[in-house]
Amino acid sequence: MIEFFQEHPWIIIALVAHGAVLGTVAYLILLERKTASWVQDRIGPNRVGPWGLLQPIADGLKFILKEDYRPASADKVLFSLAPCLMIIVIIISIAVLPWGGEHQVTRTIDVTGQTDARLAAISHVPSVGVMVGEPKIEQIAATTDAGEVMAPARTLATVTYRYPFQIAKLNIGVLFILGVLSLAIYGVVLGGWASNNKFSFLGALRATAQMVSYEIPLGLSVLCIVIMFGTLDLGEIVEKQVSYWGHVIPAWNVFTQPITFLMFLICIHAEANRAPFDLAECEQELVGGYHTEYSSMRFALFFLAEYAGMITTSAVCVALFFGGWHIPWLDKIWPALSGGVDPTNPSITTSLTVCLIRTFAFFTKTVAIIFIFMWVRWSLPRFRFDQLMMLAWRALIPMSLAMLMVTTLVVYYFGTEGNRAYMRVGGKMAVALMIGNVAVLAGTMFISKLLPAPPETNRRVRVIGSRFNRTSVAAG
Amino acid sequence: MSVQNGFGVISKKFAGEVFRAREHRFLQFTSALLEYTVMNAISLLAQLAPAPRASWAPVVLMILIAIGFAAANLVLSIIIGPRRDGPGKSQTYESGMVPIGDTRKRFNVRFYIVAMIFLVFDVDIIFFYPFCTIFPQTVLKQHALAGPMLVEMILFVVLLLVAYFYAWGKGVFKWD
Repeated sequence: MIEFFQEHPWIIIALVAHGAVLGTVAYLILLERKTASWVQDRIGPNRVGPWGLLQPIADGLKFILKEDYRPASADKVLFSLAPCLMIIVIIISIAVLPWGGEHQVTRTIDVTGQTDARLAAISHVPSVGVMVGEPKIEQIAATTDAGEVMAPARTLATVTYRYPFQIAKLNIGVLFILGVLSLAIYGVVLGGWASNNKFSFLGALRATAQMVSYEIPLGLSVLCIVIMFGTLDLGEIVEKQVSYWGHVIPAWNVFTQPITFLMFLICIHAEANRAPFDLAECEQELVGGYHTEYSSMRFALFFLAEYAGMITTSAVCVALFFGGWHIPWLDKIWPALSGGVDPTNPSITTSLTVCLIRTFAFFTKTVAIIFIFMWVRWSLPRFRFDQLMMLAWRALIPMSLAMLMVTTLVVYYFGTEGNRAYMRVGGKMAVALMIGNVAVLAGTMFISKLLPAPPETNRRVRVIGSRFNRTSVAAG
Repeated sequence: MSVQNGFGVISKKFAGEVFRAREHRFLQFTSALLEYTVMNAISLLAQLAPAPRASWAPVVLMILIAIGFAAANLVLSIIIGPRRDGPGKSQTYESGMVPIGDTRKRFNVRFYIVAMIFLVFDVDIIFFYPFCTIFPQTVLKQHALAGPMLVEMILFVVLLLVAYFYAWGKGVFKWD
């Protein structure tokens, strides 16, 4: 049994990751409420358990114990299918997140009696693993108490292999995540349509238009990173960032592509349907948006999907821009933390402890990004629908297209210098990318001044007597 | 009279006096460029190693876990939760009023336009993925095709921008 799980390590990783993500979702809701109370200067949930720590469990129980009601006019099948579809695609999307880099394992396997000891040993390497060196095969002659050699002697093979410490290592990595996450739109549309409720329907329409619009700049800003490394595999993109510029600055993409990062952050906010982009469920206009008619566990599934989607997109953000599991400067003291990455130093191994520490680092960064989500939600007012669509189509799409072209040019002109043989971003390339980012920002600001403003745009009104305009108080 | 180019015979429409020498040269150039690109792209694609470690079994496992989780939650709440029905309760919620009219009516055509323009852009972006994965390696190997690839991608983006500005001019990106 243990042997089976050693040969299929992804089964355990999948189960643990699934449980961890959904458990985190429950506590993210508590974190959200605590953040809200912190922003609004109140205490927040504090009744169930110390600091409200048992609140998520109470919420979960309450959801199950409530009536799962379906209005008579709703579509019977689609009404149940929509929340299921939503949570299913979100759970699938965590499959390719690179939690802990590569794990190196050395195992000794008894291959007595096998005709080809080497082949028998290799067959024990997991299908996702890759061997390090050749298996060592040795004969051990067992002896009796009298010292006579017993036949047949036992044959032991020692194999060393590495496997990715993530659920699935796919060569299409980030494309898989984008593709699967875009299926979440179906959940929203079906939910809104099946409810046969005007609020739900309008909410679903808005959500669809919004998610569809922001998917384009999202894809383009991901491509800006992909073209720097020539791979779609998130794990490899993380590995390329595990190095330093000038031995001090970690080679994270957020330093070379700050504008791309901001665009990506805006897009994942919009994809998550959260404030200030929560037009689909704005309480003042549409009651609950596409989940107005939902109650009990079906509603909970929508809710879980929203937060789990946030975890996935934030994790992608961390992997693309913040070096994934890389803990800066600590790996100078403890080189094993960056082990398995440096091709010039294959002797460094990565143990399970190292993988778990990396996973913890990755997760901490993800939660930090999610905290930004919450901070934004409780600080910024909601957009108007036309502003929302114009931000996507008239600002983000041309900007991200320009950013992609600038990155392409930089890769073309600086693509051969430095440590490029291993597809790392060298110093010159980093500087060029930074200049490119600033140039795109400056160009956008310049062009936006030239464009004629739409007639109905909000205009800045001088607020007389406010703290922003003290002089007029003195004058008047 | 028919004109030979890299792909064989151009349609009769261009033949005869109408067909101008400049267009002929342009067509010959583009078809030669296309042929050159396609042949080289095949050799380039062949260099890319397949992914030996890619495995879809974990994804299947995740799909099973996800379906199990969703179904279990639904069934659990249906079994455990209470069940009380009534004529008023089963009505569609419309802020406490008696629902007026049907929901599934016509809605603003802008949503269709957004969906259509999204299709245009999304399909275009799909073409960027193979380009973005191959291009850095082409540059790194200092392959002769790196320059033409860049030029072609810029041409592609220019075409995309033509569509974009056409849509802008038609007022697709105006919401009021």
